[in-house]
Amino acid sequence: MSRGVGVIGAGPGVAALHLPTIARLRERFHVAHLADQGSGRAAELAARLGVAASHGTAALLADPAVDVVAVCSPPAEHARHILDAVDAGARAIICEKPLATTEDDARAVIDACRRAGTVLLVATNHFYDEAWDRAKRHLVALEGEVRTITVAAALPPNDRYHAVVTELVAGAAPARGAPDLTDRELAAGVVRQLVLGLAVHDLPAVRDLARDFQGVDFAAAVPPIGYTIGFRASGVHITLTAVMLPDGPDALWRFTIGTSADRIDVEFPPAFVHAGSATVRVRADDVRSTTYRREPEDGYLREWIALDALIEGAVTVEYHELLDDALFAIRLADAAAETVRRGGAS
Amino acid sequence: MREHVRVFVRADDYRAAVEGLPLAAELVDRPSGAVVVIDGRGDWWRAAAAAAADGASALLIAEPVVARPEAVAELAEGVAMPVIVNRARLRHDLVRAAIERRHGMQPRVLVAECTAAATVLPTMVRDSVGWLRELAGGPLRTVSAAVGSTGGTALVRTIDTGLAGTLVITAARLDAGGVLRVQGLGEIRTELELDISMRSATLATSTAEGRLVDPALFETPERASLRRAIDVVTGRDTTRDLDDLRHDVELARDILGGDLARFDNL
Repeated sequence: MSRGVGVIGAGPGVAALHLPTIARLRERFHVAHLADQGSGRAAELAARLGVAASHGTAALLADPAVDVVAVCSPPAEHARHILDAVDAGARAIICEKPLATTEDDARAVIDACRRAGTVLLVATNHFYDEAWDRAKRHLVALEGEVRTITVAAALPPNDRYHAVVTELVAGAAPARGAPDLTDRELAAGVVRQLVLGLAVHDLPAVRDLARDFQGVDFAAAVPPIGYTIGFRASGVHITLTAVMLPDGPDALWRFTIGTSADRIDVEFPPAFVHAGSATVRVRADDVRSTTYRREPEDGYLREWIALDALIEGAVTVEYHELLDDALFAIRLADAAAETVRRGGAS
Repeated sequence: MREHVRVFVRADDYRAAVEGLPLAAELVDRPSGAVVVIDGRGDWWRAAAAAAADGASALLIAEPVVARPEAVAELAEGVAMPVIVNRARLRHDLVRAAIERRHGMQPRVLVAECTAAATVLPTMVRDSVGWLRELAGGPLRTVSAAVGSTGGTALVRTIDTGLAGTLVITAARLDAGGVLRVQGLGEIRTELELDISMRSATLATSTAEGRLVDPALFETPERASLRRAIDVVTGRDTTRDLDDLRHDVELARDILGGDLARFDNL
C-alpha cells in the first residue's frame, strides 16, 4: 500500500532529495501535498506531480490524502511543525535534522509523539547508510576499543549535485554567503547553526560509539563557512571539521574511527546523489587493508524504508534514543558556540 | 667532470646511497671536509656536535628520534654548517610536490591524523606537526591540546595568518611504523597518506577539474636526502631543516604536555 506524504517545505532539500527518493519508493510512498511559507515553490513542485499545494501547514495537515508528514522546513520551525502534525493526528512524521534547536523543544516534541503514539524518524541518512552497519559489525568483530573519531567534510556548492537528480528553477538554491567570522559573536552563531545543520549528519553515529557528552576542548569557525571542533564523549576524542566552499573538487565526507587495533574509514558519497552506500575501508593491525564494496541502496532510501518499517510496526520507535541524539547535538552546539565566543579553547 | 662531494658514513643504507651517486659522491674514511651522516638513534645531537668539531662540511641527520627541544636548539646554535635532516615521514621531495600542486593557494583548514604504536607515536606527532607547518606555510602555535594515554586531539594555528589545523592522535596496536594522513581542505584539496608498514606514500591533489595522484617515489629516502645534502654543499640548494625540526619538536612536546613517553605501551 502506498502512503500519501505531505511535505512541509519546498526548498532544494525537498526538490532534489526527498521527492526523487520518494519517487524511487512508489510502492511504499507517494507525494500527496506540498506546502511552503509563501515562496510559491510548493505550487511549482506540486504542479509537476499533479498534487495539491498550499501555504502554511493547516491545509496540508487537514488533507485526508496525507498519511505521513515530512517536516522539511527551516530547522527553527521543526519543533512547531511536528507539534502541529501531532495535534492534527498525523500517523507518522519524518523530520529533517535537527529534530529541534533547543532542549526544551526536543523534549516537547518527543513527549507529544510518545503520548500520541506518533511514529517519528529523524532523517539522518548517514546513520541509516548500510556502510555504517558494516563498520559497526567490524568494530564488534575486532573488539578494538574506540579511541578517536575524526569527521572531515569539504563541500562544494550543492547545485552540481542537484543537477544530477532533478531540474530546479533558477534561484531555487540560494548562494552561500560569507559571514564575518572575525566577529566572535557572529562566528559563535554560525558554528552553532552548522553543528545543528551539518555536523548533525554524523552525531547519531558518533553517539552510537561514544554516548555521553563530556565537553568541548576547542572550537573555531573556519572561513568562508565552516568549523573545526574537538570534544570528548565517553572518553573518546572526537574532531569534526567541515568547510563549505564556493568551488572546488567533489565533496569529501569521511568518518574515521581510530581504535586500539585498526582504523576504519567510512566515506560517504556527495549529498543528494543516489550512488549507493558509503564505502568502508579498514586498515587492520595485521597489515591488511580491506575495502568493502558500495551497497546499492543509499542512506536516503534506507531512512524512508526504515520509516515504512516503523509504520508497519515491524520496528519500535525508540523515542528515548531520538531525544538523546537531539540533546547530544544541542549540547555540543551550545558548548562549541560558547568556546568560539571565548576565543577557541576551553 | 665535477668534483665528488666527500661523504663519511658508517651505515650500510647510506653506503648504498653513495654508491648510487657515482658521479656526485665518494666515500671517505674521515669526517673532515665531508658530509657526515649521523645515525639518528640515541644521543644523535652529541654525535652531530662531535662531527662538526671534527671539521665536517655538512651534517646529514638520518631519522632522528625525538629529542629534547633544548638539545636541538643547542645544536642549531652551536654549528655553523648546513644541516640536512632526513625524516622519512616528511620527505623533502614529497613536501615540495604537495606544496607545488597547490599553486600558491592556501588551504582553508588542515586535518592531520596519526595512528601508531606507543613507542613510535611521539615521532609521528612530531612529523604530523611538520606536515601541518609545511602545508600551512609557516610556524604554528598550540591553541588547545587534550591528550591522554590512548590518544587525543589538538588545535594549532599559524602564528602569522591564524590558519587552523587539527591533529588527531591514536595509540593503536599497529605494527611498527604507523599511518599518517594529512588533508588540506579547500578549493584545492591535498590528501597525503603515509602507511609506513605498507611502504606506501600517496599524494593526491583535487580540484574542480579532477584528482591528480603524484607518481610514487621510488628513490630511497637515504639517496634523496644525500642528493639534497650534495646540492646544499655545492650551493644549488639551501636548508632550514634543523630550525624546522626544532619547531616541530617543541610543538609536539607542547601538544603532548611535556611528556614524550605518555602513551600506553600496547
